[in-house]
Amino acid sequence: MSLSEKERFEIEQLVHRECAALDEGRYADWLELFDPEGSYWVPMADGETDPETTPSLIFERVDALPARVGRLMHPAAHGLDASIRTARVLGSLSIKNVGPYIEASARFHLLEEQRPDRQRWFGGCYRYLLVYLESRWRIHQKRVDLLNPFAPFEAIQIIL
Amino acid sequence: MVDLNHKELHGMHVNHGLAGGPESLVRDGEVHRRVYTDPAIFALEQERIFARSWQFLAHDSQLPETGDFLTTTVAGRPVLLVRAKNGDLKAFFNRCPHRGALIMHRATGNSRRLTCSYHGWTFDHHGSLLALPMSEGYANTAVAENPDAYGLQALPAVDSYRGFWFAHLNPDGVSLRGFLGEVACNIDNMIDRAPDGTIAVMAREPYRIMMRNNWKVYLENLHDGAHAVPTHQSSIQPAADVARKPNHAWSRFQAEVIAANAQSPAKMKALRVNCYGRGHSDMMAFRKTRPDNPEYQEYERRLSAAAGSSSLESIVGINRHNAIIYPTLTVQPNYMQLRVVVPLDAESTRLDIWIFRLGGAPDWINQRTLVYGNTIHSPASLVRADDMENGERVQIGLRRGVETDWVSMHREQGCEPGPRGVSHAMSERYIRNQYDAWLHYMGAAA
Repeated sequence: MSLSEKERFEIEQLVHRECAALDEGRYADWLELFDPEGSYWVPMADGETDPETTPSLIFERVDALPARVGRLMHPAAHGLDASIRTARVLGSLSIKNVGPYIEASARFHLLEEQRPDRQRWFGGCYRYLLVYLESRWRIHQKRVDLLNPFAPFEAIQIIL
Repeated sequence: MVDLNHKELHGMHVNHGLAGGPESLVRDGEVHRRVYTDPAIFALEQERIFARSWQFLAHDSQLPETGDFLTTTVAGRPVLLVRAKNGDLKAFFNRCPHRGALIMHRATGNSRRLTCSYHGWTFDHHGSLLALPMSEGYANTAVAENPDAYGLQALPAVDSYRGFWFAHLNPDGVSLRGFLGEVACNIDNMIDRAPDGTIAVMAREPYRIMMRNNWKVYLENLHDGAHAVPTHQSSIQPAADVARKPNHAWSRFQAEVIAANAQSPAKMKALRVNCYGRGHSDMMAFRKTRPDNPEYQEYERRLSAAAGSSSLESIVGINRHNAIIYPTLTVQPNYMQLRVVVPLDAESTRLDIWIFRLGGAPDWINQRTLVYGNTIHSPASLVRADDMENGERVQIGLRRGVETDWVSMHREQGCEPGPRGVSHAMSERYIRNQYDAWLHYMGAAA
């Protein structure tokens, strides 16, 4: 299907809203952006096609995500005692049809600050598979292709 | 008696405030903070523990084809493994005999020949020197006269236990089988779960984790039932909520695995821990692994058909949470997970975690292995994050001397005086057992 200017604008807005919800710690708002049948996937290698047969850094269906979000908001999450903050920058957004979905993809840089003396960068590509459901665009899958998915990482507590 | 100011430690900062050697760092139920923080102790551990015990290299399935190679380390030394033409697995120090550069630098790959990137010295899969560029410069030198001496240097001892390869840098007469002793039953249990008797790594890369703590801090957490609720409370409650709802089966499985940390101290105390020789130990599991669903029952049916119904209970009926193959390997046989501990320096440790596909098993059981791996062993695990935080807090807490320099491992010592024997998951006997082995390796045993 070809997208109208209005639809492209809505999709761009959705991608930016998704990043803003994470950077601002509005996790309930973030969950609302998903298709209830959706998933959040961070593959552990380049070019993965199937999270059900290969290991992933994260592969969670939307109905599992309240556990991840719940820990982020839990007062006794020791790893989060010094609050973690993130700032992400998107670029090169492109939108195309992929099967029954619209795919919006963008390069990203993500700066994470965990306590004032510890900063970490992540970078790579966000790929959103989107569906139009009940009068708005929703995320069917958020896929995060890191530049270095197989590197040894310290704990990744944030939502990438 | 070992003097830590001995010349092998010359040039290192040794500020211990204690006169003796390693034996002065372990006393009844306590260990000195320096074993976790002192670079000189770490250097000594490299030579006396990691270079004097069987160290895991790789599983056969990581190198299936002729020419497959992988690079790793043993006791800090770069090592290169290659699958040779006749199927042999060859293990060399990953160092060119010419100027010392790494022969291969990528983690894995396949190569017909092994060529040094620096000057092009080239070796075959058996390590023999095949090509010597600009060879005229070597006329009338030892290299031209005895090229056999300028091949790759093989590791002194390499052996396999049922497809798991290990190396020993200073073979001392203890075979790999003898080194493993009773703890080998955990490797057996993992392999025996495969209906066709074969297991294989699920991916060419492991989960990789960086920890800001000494390697022993990690090992000393592995049978610790007392840490589960205080450390993991942040993930237990949100996961329990997900597990209760009619969510997707794998979402519920992930959540149940996390929420299982809520076991009461009484239940943890009921979990048997066996403390074996050489610092090895294993612990029974606190989650049932034989669910009442058709997918799992199909797996048991296939296993039973292959192994015999009389063997079924002795395989899947044994539900161990994990085993420590001291000093640097740990196995979770019920979920086919193998964790390799890579000590980098006194204050940092890497973990490489491999998961295995069971040959001849339905896809469901292998998918469960994968979901378990993602949930527990990814660096993005909700469980691991708080373990890693507490590991780092131990490290920071012990970094400098304070009033008391001694770290407690007393729990249940009153009931379990010796290092070895039957114990349980609320006891620190397995830690005392590790220090019994530590003293032995460090040359300070009584």
